[in-house]
Amino acid sequence: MLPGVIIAAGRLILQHLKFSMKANAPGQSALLLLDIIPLLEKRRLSYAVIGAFAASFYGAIRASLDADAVISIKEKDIAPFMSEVQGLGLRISHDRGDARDPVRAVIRVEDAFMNRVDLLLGIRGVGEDVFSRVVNAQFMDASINIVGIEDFIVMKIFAGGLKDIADVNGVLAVSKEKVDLPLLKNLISKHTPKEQEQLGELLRAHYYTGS
Amino acid sequence: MISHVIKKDHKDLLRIAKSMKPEERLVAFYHHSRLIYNLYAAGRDYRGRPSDSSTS
Repeated sequence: MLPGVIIAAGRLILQHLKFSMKANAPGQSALLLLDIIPLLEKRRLSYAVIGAFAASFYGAIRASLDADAVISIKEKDIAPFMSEVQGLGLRISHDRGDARDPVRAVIRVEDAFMNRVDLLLGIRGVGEDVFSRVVNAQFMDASINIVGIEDFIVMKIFAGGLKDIADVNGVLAVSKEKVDLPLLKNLISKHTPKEQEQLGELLRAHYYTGS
Repeated sequence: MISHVIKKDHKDLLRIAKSMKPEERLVAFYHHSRLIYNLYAAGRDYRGRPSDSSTS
């Protein structure tokens, strides 16, 4: 009798959690991120949304099947945070990069619909000051912190893939007036000469050739 | 080889993106991602279908 009651109560709780989640169908990783953000805020963990979300906010709209954010979290807070996310009926894993990996660790959250959120911890060359430059935006009746445009550009140049450079081109084509050039040049100065040259080329293409 | 037609098309898309507010682009991103997922799911179903190699 008692185990039956417990199972029924558990089902009711899970059903309630599913209905209170914004993400309730496939293709809604952006909404899954909105479900995670209140948990970060409750624990006063700084975060900045990056990836296709930020690329679309500042530049050319492109699709993505996951949502990414960089977060600031102390080692001792990781386990309690993960357990709270699990309490929402979500799958969660924590992978650490090796010494050469530009990302120290990733906390990956997935729901039953294959929506996925990657929370990145410690990207090389990205300091805690990134969180002081986030831009607050409204999305689907929620407030979210998007990485600053200059940090976004520098992160993408650091990542260096074709898609990353295409994102920077999209951002500069759509929002170049929003870029604080002295700040951007200061941020890139902490990176390699090759990355500085890459930024120089992009700036020449967008600011000095009339494109 | 550069296609001027494709280049013009790309410029038009950027012009449309520029005419939108950043928050509107976020909503477009959300809907676009959902549509792309639906395409992905249709492709997955197609790949899972047994191939019709019979001849009648």
